[in-house]
Amino acid sequence: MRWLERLLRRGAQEARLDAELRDHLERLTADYVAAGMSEPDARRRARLEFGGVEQIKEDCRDVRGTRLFDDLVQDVRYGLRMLKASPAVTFVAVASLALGIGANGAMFSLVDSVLLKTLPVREPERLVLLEGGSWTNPIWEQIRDRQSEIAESAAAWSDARFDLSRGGQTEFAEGLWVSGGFFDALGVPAILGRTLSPADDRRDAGPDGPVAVISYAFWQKRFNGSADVVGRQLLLNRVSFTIVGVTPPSFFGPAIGRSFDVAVPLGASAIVMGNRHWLDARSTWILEIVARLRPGQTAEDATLALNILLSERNRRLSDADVILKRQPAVNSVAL
Amino acid sequence: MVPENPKSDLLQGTLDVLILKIIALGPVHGYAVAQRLQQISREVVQVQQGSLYPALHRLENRGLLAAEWRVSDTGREAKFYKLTRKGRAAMAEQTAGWRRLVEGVGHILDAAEGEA
Repeated sequence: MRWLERLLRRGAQEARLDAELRDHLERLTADYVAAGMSEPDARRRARLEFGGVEQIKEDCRDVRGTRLFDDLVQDVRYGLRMLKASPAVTFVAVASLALGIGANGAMFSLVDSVLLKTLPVREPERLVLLEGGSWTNPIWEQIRDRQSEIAESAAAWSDARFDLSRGGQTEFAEGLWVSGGFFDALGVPAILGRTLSPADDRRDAGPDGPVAVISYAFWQKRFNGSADVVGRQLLLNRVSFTIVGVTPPSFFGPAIGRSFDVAVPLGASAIVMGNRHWLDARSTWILEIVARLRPGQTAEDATLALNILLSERNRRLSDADVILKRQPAVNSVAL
Repeated sequence: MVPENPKSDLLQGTLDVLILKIIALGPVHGYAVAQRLQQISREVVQVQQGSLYPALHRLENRGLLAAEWRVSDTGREAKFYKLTRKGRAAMAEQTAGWRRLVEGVGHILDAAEGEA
């Protein structure tokens, strides 16, 4: 019964891998709680920072039981010996090779069916979610600029919380940072006004200035369903946004168990958050990325196209596994 | 999934020697490895979990690290890594290699302009 033994051992190994990663997550959470965060915030922050657990597990599994790496070590050793004589060449080689690491193995999967049921969107079976947790805006921009090579369209979003007050007591609204093509990619129309467009999603705001789309519920609650809501101003973190549209009552946003009040373009974070924005941050993993497959295209096709794009990107950008902090000039070569 | 770029292992080699060194200071669990890398480097080196755990598992698989489950300060079982003899030898070898590289790079960067 060797196969059974193997299977059992594998099961035990999986459980231990799971326990190991959970231990890390819990320690990270505890440290944030110790630093003064509330338990749920700490948990969320730790999870964000930790990134895609499934991806990490997959990478750990890959490492086990493959001798490939040892073969590679031999190759690399040989290469190092060859290069040792000329350190200048070695440095250039190491610097450029370092860039090869990063979002390797990003994968699209069919959007979870529970999520699908909550999304009143056009042809939800063609929507795929990028696995591996959250992504950075620089990675998203790479995907955004070449989305036609990957799928019919792609979109990104992140949760946000905006302060609606003019000062004094804060009044929170559930927000969403969304890419300009978010509503079009999902196939969510506006029941009043318009949704957002790529032109709105600029760092210096689009032709209409900072713009926002609000949910049906928020429209009812805050504006009493007033017909002239389009064009009115809404203060978000003391920055004035023009309301351009209202989404259908059936659309609560892309996340389960959470409904949004107001959605604004990603680019507006430069205005709302000032120099604390994360548009160029290579270590702020906060965006969820979704793609709409072309008719007949499979998630595997899109995954392959995405990885080709990302591996090209990695040759130019950092996001390597060792990040140098406080040295922005060096950061761009990640060594 | 695209096959892993073999070239990227050069940098993983760098991460490997850092991990080996940290673990040489005493048996630790994964979280502590990340923390200590950050602390000892005075916040300069930050390793992402997505790279740390595959590296730990790879080093264990290659026999450079041995792992042991122990009840930790949290009261739960945690996986502690320690250096094997083979790991200690690899660390010494890789440290020497890294120092040579740093020295070589240093010479280049320190070269007085106009010297070449």
